[in-house]
Amino acid sequence: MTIQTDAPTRKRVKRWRQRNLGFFMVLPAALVLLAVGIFPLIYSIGISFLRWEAKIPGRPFVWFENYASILSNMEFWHSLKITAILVGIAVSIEFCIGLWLAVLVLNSGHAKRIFMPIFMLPVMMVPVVVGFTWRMLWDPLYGPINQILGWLVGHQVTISWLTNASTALPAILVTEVWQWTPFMFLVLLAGLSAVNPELQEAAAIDGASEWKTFWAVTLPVIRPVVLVAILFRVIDVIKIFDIVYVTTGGGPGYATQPVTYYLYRTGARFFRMGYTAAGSWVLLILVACLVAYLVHRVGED
Amino acid sequence: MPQKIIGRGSRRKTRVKKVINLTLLTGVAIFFMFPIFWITVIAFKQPEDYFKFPPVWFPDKPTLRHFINVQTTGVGGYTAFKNSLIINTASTIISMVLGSLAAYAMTRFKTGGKHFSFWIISQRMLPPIAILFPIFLLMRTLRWIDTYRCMVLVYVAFSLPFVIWMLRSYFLEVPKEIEESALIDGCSNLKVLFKIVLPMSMPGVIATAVLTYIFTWTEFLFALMLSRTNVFTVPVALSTYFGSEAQFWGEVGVLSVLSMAPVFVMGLAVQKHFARGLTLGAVKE
Repeated sequence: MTIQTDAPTRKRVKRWRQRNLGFFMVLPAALVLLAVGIFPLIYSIGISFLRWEAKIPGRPFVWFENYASILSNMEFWHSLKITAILVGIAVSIEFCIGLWLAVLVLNSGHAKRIFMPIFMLPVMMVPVVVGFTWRMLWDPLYGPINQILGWLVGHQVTISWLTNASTALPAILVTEVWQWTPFMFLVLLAGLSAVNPELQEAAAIDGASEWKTFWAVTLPVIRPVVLVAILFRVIDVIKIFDIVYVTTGGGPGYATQPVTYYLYRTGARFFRMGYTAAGSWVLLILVACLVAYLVHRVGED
Repeated sequence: MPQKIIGRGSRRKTRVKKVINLTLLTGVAIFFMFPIFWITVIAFKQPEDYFKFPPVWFPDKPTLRHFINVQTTGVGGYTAFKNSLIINTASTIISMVLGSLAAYAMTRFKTGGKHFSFWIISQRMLPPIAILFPIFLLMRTLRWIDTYRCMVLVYVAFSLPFVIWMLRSYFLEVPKEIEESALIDGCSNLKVLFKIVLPMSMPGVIATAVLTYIFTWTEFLFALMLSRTNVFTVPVALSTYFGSEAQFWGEVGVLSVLSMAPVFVMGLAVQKHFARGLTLGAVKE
């Protein structure tokens, strides 16, 4: 026997069943993200109000003491500055070279098939491997960089790139740019390939130079792609840790210590849990503001 | 006819331009290949070759001894490989299953709506250092530090936002008509997902799995914090050579080469999907 129901009811039943099924299909993923993403975040708010240190017994509630001490710590501000420098310089250089390469490859015809895979390799490498590799390249005695520089200037060069306060940060920047320029390249190339060639042809017929066509026609069209690429790079450079860990270890002194590395040290080496949690929240709020601003800009397009 | 307008002079100009283009590209390609070449050659160099001044580019007597030493000195390179394989395979499979269920519900039933999908992507944006120590303390309380289940759980959570957003973008491209007719024929939604939607977006699904594998393969921070002597991964094994300054370059080279080779092969196989993968489905090719 079948129960006759009118169409609206059947539709409502279907929608109700879909909603339930959908809920149960999303549930496992949501639970994992809640357990490993959200719960630790909430837990760390709690920790940030405790004096939780390796050598001090007990975990007294101290209100905002940890926040006060991290905000008055020069090393913390310095590490934020290093992160800001890395983000600003690395992302700009990566964007410029990436865009330039994308245009070159786009105009290279069949050679694209050879160059694409080559430019893709660094992105797939383990950052720890990249760090080690560049450490060997920068080596003052046994590295090829000083050797090549020596050929160029005509006499022996022995710059200790990674242990010198003025060259260590540029060395890390080069390493970072080497690994992630291909990211910009790949994303921007995808964007450029999608541009309708008729637009550029129309501009060319109107007598616009190639350079002008690129700035006035092509770039505005790929603006959304540019913003997405920059957003992702900014987020990832803020996380920079691996390369620093195996090249300079934050040194010399703390000249190359980005904020993730600083917080890693206060947590893992000195086991100052409350202090580290407070620092993480300061960082989190700063990143959230920046990301909200960038996402807003992306959303506008 | 635009072809007619182009005279002989401008054709020569385009050819010159092409040669300049290719020369520049070759130069950049050398810049990107050189470090990979250097670390690969170091894996086969005798220690007296990589500690020679001025540096030797091509060794006279290549050696394979570092391929043995990598297990016997340090923490154990091949053990790290086994650990990485177990952890990455398990976490990739689990996150693909959970992710495809969630992505299907999100694209077909609009479960959770827009806010839910943005909540998921925001997980990817927050700096991992913010949850590193809380997770460490929780795992310590559970006595899960240095176990496979701990690493797999963390990596599943780490991969899920990526998997869900990628699959979401691929599932949206599957034409609705076939699914709808299957549903009318009495197929259940789960059957539609596994028999129609997943097979129809197979290239994208494979690309997602490969990229998930690569991203977890390269992860370092959590592996460093949550492993001790049992489940250390390849990047962690490599980092243990950091303190011991100059002695182990050959071993570092071997581990680097072994960690690059499989990833390069897998990655190049799905190279068409790379731009999309790197932006979580935002940029399509």
